[in-house]
Amino acid sequence: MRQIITCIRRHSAGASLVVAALSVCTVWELALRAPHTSLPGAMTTPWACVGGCGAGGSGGSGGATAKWIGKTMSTGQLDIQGMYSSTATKTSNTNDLDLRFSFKPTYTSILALTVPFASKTGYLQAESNSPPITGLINNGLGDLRLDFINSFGLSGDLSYDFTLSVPTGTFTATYGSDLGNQYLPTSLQLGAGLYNLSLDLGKTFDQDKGMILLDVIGSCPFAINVHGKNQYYNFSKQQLDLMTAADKKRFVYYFKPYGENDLGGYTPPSVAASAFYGYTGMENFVHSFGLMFSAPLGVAWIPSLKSTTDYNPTPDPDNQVWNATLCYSLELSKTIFPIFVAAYLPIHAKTASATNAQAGDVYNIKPMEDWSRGPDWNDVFHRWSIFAGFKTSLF
Amino acid sequence: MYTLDIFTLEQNQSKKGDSVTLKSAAVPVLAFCALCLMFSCENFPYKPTEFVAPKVPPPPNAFVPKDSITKFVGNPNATVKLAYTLTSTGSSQTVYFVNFNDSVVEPREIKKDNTRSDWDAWCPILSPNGALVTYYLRSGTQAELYCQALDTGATPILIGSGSEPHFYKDNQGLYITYTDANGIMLIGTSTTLTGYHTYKQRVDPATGQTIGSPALIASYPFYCGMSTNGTYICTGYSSAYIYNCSTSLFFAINPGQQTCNPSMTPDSVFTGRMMFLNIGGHEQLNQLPPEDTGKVGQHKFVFIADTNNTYITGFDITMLPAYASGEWQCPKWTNIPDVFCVLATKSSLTYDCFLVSISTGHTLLLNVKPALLQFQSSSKPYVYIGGN
Repeated sequence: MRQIITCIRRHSAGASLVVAALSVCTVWELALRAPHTSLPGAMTTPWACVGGCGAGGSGGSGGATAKWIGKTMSTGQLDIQGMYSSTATKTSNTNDLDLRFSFKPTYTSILALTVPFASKTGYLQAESNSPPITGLINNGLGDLRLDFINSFGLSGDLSYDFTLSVPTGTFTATYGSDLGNQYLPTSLQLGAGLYNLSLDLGKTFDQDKGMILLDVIGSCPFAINVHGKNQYYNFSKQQLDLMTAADKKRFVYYFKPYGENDLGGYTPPSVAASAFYGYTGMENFVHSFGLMFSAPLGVAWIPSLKSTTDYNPTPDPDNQVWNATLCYSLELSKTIFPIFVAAYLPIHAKTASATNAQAGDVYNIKPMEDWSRGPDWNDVFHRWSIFAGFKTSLF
Repeated sequence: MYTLDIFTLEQNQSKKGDSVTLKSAAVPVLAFCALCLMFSCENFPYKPTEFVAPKVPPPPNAFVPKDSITKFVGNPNATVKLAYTLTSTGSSQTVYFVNFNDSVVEPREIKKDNTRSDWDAWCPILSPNGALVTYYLRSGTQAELYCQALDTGATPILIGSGSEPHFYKDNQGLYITYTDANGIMLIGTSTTLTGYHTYKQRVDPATGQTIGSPALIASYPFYCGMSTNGTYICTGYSSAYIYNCSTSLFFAINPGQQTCNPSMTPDSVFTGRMMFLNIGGHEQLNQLPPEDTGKVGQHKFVFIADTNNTYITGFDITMLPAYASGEWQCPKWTNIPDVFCVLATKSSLTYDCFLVSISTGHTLLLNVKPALLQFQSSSKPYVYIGGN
């Protein structure tokens, strides 16, 4: 009865790692990959497509971000794109509004800044024998993302997209009061407390009345601390002297080439790939279907929920060794004010927490990196995202 | 400046266009190579491991010598022990104890339940013979009571869910009294005394093992221990009361004023008395000395009052001149009626621990080398004085 089942079960980084790597691969924007459709005006209204992974890191951005696929092209000096999304899971609901401001420094490139706002609600059941804590709410700014997209190739059918997310969203929000104060679970935080650099390489294939878009994405979180020391754990010099060099690096550093934040939460690097088909046979509409797949290169760790001085990160029992997402979207391809709607349905590997495989030793990562459990079909329709977006030009 | 039109480029296949395309392609290729290099590193990807915060070895000689304490309590054969909690960075709050009769007087840590190592320990109390310690562990809104021998290797024994345990001894045996509230509720919103209860659980005086089931003492949450005759129990914070367990009568103490750190007297004669720390404002005690009737600052006084809400005595922080601008914290009656222990601070950052004689007003600093050991506002020290 007293056995800890899953600290932060269903509320941890794993669930949103998916987001980080793939579905979250933020990518909107414009189509720099040159289209070769037979549509009138095709030469001036290229496909909107791939940007980079705006992976806000584990748990950071929370809600998914959609890949805008369409044929509307920007015409202004400064474009703005708004995308509302709603993501539901068994334990949380996330509403996001991402505002993306972009301009084209060259004809083949785009520089953009995405400002995400999120509202997250959920509940937490830290242990099986404790009552769930309901009504947890966290609203505010998420992690900003800066991305640069450039197309190349003889016909502009190739592209790359560097995306850098910066930790502007809080990752230390708490709930409760007085001495019972605790950190919200990672999935309800607005940021990851990490920087993240991702590279998306894309290729477009022309089809009759359509297009196939392939992307591969690598994402690498890292940590920068301008203070040179962890701001949440003030170890004495005597304690630091007793630590190993690796442990000391957790608390005294300017740069860590991996995604470990100051609370001990760890987001591993990840790789992802996606394939989309867009159908343009209908005037003013673009239907698209796609599949995205991502896998982290390691097991995510989650920090202790306690907001006192306890530094006790543990492997995330909700770590997903892989995640796939089925995607459908529709663009209303109007020149002035295109509109986009989409629905994403993720399917992920069964997690350790789904079978309580981590019980007994919460520090053992083996159950969290087990690929043999197969898909978690029980979770399929409990987790989904819907999107609605627009684009327009300010100048 | 690079402003080539990719469609023109596509059609003309100019030499310049080829060059630009190659330049563009070079960026992702280089990035890909960098990623490959990173992936091939020996330590890639980074793998976190379990972290155990290092604890600095206990400082020897940080405490007052035994002779000073025995002289203070007037008994050269006294056995004196101190229990308190401390949080060190990176670790949860832990119970430490000091046996002043040891050849080397140093703090020692007691074991927590293996599955609760990251829970915070609170409010240790020593048994009437000084052999056992009871305390509670808390994580979020959960709280569990434990009891074990006062020894570094002793195994914690789970008493049940609840908080604020105290020992109580009668002719039948040894008990632990506690409330089923979790401590947080008590601190935040104890204005209502409903919804929670106070129990006593009999335990083996040698091992701390539970004997039988807990018995209800009161249908309200009290958390300051019972008087030695088992008649009274008290509570504090938003509203302070002494409660007669036999008649179910409440006695309001300092009504309308919030109180802190209530504590029941161990006196076997004047059993209906409680000690508390003031929060601030105009105290509402009968027969309050004129100099204390004005508005007093927070945590400036430790008061003792009885069931008639009559002021018995009070201790102004100014009795410690070096701490006059600071405040008291965590007063707690020891197991003898004339002495209580209390923390005092100059800055609210670090605290020193004192024994105070109620009859004489004499004080004794326990951590005589504050540079080696400091207490915290949540340390809740408890002192056991045996051999009387």
